[in-house]
Amino acid sequence: MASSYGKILKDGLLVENPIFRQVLGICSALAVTNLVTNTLFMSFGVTFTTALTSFTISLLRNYIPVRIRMIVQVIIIAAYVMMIDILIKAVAPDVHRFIGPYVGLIITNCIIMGRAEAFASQNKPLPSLVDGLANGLGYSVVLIAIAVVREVMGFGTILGVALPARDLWWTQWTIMVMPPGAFFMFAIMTWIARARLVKQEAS
Amino acid sequence: MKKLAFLKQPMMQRVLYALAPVALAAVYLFGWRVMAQVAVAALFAFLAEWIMVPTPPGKLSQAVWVTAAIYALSLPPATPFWIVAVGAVFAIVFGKMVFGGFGKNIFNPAIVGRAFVYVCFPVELTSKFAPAFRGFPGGFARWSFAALEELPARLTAPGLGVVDAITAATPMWSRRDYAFETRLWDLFTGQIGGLFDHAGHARVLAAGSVGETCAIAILLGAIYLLWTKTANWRLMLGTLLGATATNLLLRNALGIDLVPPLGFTLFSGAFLYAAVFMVTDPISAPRLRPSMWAYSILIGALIVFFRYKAVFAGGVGFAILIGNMLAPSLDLWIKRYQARKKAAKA
Amino acid sequence: MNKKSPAYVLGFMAAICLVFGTGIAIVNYATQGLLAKNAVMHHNQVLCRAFDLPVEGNTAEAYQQAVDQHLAADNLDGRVIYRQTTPDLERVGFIFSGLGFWDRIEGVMVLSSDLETVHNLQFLDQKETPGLGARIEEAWFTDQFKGLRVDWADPGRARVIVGASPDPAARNRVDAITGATQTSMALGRFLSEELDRFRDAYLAATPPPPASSPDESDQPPPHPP
Repeated sequence: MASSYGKILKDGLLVENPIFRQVLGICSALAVTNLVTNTLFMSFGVTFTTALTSFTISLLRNYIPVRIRMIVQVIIIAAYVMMIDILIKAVAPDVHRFIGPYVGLIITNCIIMGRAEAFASQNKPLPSLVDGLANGLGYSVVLIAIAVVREVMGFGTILGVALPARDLWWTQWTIMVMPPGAFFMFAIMTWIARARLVKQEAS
Repeated sequence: MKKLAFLKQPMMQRVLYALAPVALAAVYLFGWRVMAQVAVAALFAFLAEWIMVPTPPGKLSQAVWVTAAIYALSLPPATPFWIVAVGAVFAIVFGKMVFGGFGKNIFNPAIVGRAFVYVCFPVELTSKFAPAFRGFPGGFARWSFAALEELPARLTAPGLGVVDAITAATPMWSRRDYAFETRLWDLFTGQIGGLFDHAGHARVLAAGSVGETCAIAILLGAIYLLWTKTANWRLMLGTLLGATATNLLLRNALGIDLVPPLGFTLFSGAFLYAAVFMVTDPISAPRLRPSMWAYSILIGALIVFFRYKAVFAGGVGFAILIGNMLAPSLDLWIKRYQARKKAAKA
Repeated sequence: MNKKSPAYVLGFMAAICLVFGTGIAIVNYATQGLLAKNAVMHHNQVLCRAFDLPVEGNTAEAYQQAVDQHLAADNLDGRVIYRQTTPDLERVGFIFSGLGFWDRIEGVMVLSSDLETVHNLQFLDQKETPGLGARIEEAWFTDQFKGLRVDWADPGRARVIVGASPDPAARNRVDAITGATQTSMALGRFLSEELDRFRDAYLAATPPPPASSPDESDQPPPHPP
């Protein structure tokens, strides 16, 4: 079993990376990546929700009526996201003031439903949990990479800390602060990643 | 290493010839740094195209020089060189190569680069304008206005230094923010720059971007382009008509004073430069005659409208990008309409 | 049991809704106290920052105590205002709100009791673009309001100006945020409107102090040394 868990992880992180290969979850990739802190929270929320939803749906997979399975998936996803939203609001109100608008966006993240459809509805609970985690992490890695570039170019900071001697050499790239910046970064990164993957597959 | 080979494009060479008077005028008005800007843009645009061009056929287009020149001449005279380079690379990579290279691009690459640096570095690109040099030898004996030790005599006023002069407002901004009207003759010759008074403070008037300042040079280029049939006259005329009609409608019919008089609209900012060198780009413009008219009239109208209403002060670049976006559809709609009419007749 | 029968489908749906609905309800109910407490604490924190109140510690109780001790809340034509009751200080703050670029912006503005000078400005709630308009909350921006003169005499009713003005040295002007022109312009506009509305209500409700009559405040403010 161990090797297959390894494969699930590798698939989610690299080979079938949700952003590069499945091109899912782009909306949030554009919206939240202008600051690394925002991105970390979003990544955590998506990873957590994907894993939990995949696990739950896999548990119920033999009982869910096929015709209404999508509705059921959405209900489960929405329920988890709302719980997370309320919990953050109660426990860390300052964080919530910052990322509140984005938490609701998790519901609409297609990665979660994509994994529920593609994997969890046909596999056992534990592999589904791992698959959800792996895809969430694959999403997170790409988002954080984009966010690091955007925060450095757009704000001259990393995680809110100013770069050394910023005033001397750094110039703001305003476009990196705005969503179009993510659009260009996303295109460049997908381009590089795909070029690499295609080369690997050919060899 | 890729072999270095160029497609032969006589049309693109002619555009370069047409740009020569504009470049000369720019050097006279702003100093030799302008040529350095063009050189940096050309070098980086060329490198970007060379790296990106697919190996078969592997030939570079001469259009890359045109893109670089039009882009570099649309910048303010003191743009930092690294920003010039960033915009040039962006213009070629995202304006042209991602669509498949020369002839396949939807947008005019030079404007893509210009709009990118404009949105990305608003401070560097909107507050670094300088007054034009005058007399003889003018800018031919100078590097740039910012390199001057002290202000020329005609610009000396209490409390003003070189720094105030290189962060001065252009005619369009002066009109909007300080209600100062630049003389039409100055706009025509490009000798913009002088002192004016606002609320008791002396202010310096600055010229705009390097290529757009001298209307005479642009008109010389336009005559050459039309004479050699390099540019389509419909595109130039349509832009003029669109702008004139909109300007008359907004200012004279609706009485909106924020919209400048017609002469000012046509000779200020990048209007002429865009109408002659940017709208006429055959790749990003539509191919059919009726759509050419619609395309250029729309751009002219949008320029006037954007100058009046938009958040970003310069509307020319965005107006053309919107026109570029519509161009293929315009061709398609016209074709469909003509086909339907033919079918109805038959 | 047949999984395709309508009874099963409906029953399953009902069960799912019930289970997860209950889950959300429980989480919501369990945190309700905390949420209310957080909201009050945030409001008090902002008030303390706006009025520069001394606070001992970083607890909800400390903020509450500071607000209770120094401020008296009042209602003026449906607008909440706060008067500072510390003996040697006379300041008045009011809650303003207006439409920003995306959504409603709410905050508190504290003025000197003659309404001529801004003491401070702090935001309670805003949903502007993170990294652009949302920077109105940052200290460098709000600090600009400290000591700002309100121009009650401006014919264009621009009481405060955010961003460009014909006279860059105007003493009722603060710098706008680069890249957030819309938010800055909206802020300048509705702050001026709210100031006007607040002053009308305030002067109507407050008897003029003996030293100056309400007419006099329409005159340009005297220049300080």
